[in-house]
Amino acid sequence: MALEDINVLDLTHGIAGPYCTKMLADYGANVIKLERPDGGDFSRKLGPFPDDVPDIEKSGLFLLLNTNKRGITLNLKNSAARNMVLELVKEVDVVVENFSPSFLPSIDLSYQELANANPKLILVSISNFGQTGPYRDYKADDMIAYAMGGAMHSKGLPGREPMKYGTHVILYQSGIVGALATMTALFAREKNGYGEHVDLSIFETAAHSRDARSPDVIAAQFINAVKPRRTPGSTVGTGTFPCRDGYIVFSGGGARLPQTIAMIGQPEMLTDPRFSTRSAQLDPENIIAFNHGILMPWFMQHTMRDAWAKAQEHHIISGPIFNSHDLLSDGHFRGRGVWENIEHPAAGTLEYPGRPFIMEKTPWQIRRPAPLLGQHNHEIYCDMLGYSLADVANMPSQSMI
Amino acid sequence: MSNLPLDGIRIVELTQIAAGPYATQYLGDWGAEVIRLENLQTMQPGTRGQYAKVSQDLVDQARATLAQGFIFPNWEAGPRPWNRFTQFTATARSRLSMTVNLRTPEGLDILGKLLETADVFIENNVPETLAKLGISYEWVTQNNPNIVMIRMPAFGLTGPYSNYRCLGLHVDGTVGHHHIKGYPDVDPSMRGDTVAADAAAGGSAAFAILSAIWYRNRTGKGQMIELCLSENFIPVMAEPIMDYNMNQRIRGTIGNRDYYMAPHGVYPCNGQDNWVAIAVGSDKEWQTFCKIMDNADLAEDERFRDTISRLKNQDELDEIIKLWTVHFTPNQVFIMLQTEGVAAGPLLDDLEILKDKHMVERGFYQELPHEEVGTLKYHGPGWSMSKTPNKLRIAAPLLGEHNEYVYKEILGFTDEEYKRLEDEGHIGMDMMPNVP
Repeated sequence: MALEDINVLDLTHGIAGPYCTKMLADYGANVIKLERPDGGDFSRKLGPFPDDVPDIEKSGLFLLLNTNKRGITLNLKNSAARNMVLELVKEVDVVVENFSPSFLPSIDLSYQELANANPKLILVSISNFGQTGPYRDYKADDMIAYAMGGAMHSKGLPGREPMKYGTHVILYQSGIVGALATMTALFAREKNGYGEHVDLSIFETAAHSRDARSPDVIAAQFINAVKPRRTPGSTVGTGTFPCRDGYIVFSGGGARLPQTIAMIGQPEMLTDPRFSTRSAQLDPENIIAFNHGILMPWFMQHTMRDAWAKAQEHHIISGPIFNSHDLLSDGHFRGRGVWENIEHPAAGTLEYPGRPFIMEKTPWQIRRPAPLLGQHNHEIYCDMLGYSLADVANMPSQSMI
Repeated sequence: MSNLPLDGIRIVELTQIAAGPYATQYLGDWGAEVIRLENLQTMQPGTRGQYAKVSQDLVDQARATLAQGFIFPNWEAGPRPWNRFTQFTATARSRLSMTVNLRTPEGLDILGKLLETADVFIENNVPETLAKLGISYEWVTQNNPNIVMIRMPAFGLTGPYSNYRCLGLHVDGTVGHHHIKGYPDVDPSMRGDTVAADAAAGGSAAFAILSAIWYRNRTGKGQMIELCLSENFIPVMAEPIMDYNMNQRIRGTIGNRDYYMAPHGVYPCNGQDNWVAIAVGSDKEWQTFCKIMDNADLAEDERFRDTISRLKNQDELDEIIKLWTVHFTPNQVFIMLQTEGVAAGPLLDDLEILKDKHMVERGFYQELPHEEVGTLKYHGPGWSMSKTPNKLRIAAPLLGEHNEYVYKEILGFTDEEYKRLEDEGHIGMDMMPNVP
């Protein structure tokens, strides 16, 4: 596998950090995930759960985010834990963590202390606001990162409250960028011979992210005004339209308007002065006349899949709004093998989202399901670090593992 | 030569609009040399603008309606609008631009020669576009057997949707994102305005490229990577998908709310269009929040006693919080809550974020000069590294700005050959007069 020679100690929890180390693990890295002994990673307590019955070994979120990792437990707040972490640090290339920035220094495991144990170590720190700056110790979740950094102020309808993304998009994005930053730091180490501390801020990831935010910030500097929230459909031929059984996002305006007119079979619209010049196509009255008066009735006679196929025949960029059932039952995705059956000792066999991308020579692969809490303690503490069975057996009573 | 981690990696790109250029922006920011292929003979709608010819009439119309896609600096499209288009200047920094007409045998030949010198070839077109040009992985490896090639179609190189044309906002629909976002009381036809899948694909593609080069550096073997916008975003939808697989439940939208936290939302503040986001993660934080609001009755109100009660009674809860937040600015609420350990954040608009004191102190936004659009602030590289300082170096290239460097220095063309390629419409800095 592409990354099989990379060893990672994973101190992360939640979504952003675990998705970062999942990307690394799924393409071959050897990832050891360290969890707190009392309940583990808090994502184990978040659902979905089968039949909605909470069980730390059956969280759909945790199971997906932690494939291909081995799991150990250690109470980092126990003073004896420090040496065990340093022993692990000597065995790895990369440590990834997403604690509050003050936590690791508070238990004498700052970057400098880790680097003293292993000068080639790369420490990747993913945090809400970064390792420096006035907001450093502040709390955030996905919505707050998007509210402050992302384009949320301009998303939603005029006159109403701004609207966030669905689920936890910014946290996953931070995980992806964390995996990219890890690889970049590995290339730097190849060049320089030493490791370094990577500081990834989720706030900055939201501001960086190539949704509307980056172009809007540039446009705002030109016009000294911010993008207002507006009703979707800013030109003739573009918008989200109701179909017989759902909705379709359809961008058939501008240079593509003739294709839209061909699709609906009303060629006389080509010469209609309300729609035939580029400036007329931006006039709000003409937008309503075309989008509501002409286009919408056409869509409502078609299913979203039929409308999509017809739009695509005319090379019009478009996509239906699928729900989970539509997506999971879709023949295209199923035929391409994006779903993966994974067997887990507690949760049984379930279908998971599979590879994010295909590497021809070094494919994405499930080597093991997400770990049970502390499943690999023996393997790591005894076989790798050389503790005795008796040492390990004694640890739980000292609230170590 | 910089001393950045990816210095020495050459990437040739045939990318459009968002996801492809975003991947190479990351890699270019960290030192890779990115050479962008462009064509004077055609204008793909979107990347450098909708049209090569933009009338002042149209620019003024855009000004009246604030159609942001048409925004040009100083409301002037200028003689070369393709260099001034906001979407492009905002997203195409850290790369070079060369022009070549790939629709001719000689154009393809030039690409082949360039690929011989490259580590990576990246494209994000509809598969049939490359097929028509005669470009395939096989053809690419004939020029360079150990190259890493990455293709980023919306839906894949195979399957019924293979040649479907999509951008991020359509892909967000197809993989289920639009279905789980937006106002619960508003029809889904008011959705369709986010392009989160592009950003995810850009980041993943850059990661995939570095993973493949890492492998090549150890084994000598290049390879082909296929990264579809849609498939890459599916794991991001893990929660609704796993819920469907476990419980056959189809999740819809809960707006700004959360499955595990209440209150969780966006509340109006003092002033015009000012908002603050608040997320209360525990009963302890709820009690702290009540103290900050100086509302002892609320702290004891049975309806809001624990998370389950608060989740159940969110409509009433939100009304009460709104009546408090409207007395303060977003920043006041932000600081009051955060200093006591409750998560909150102001909704920073496009101008406020440039002045945000945390952003300023960390130097996230950095200035870059650009011949046509002036000096502007751009977001910095995606992260910082303790021993590898990194500053942005080059803004988005003018069309054909680096032709001399690529043709003469990399490919070794003579002045006479260069002149001939100019005459034949490969090399230049202006779109052809017949391009609309």
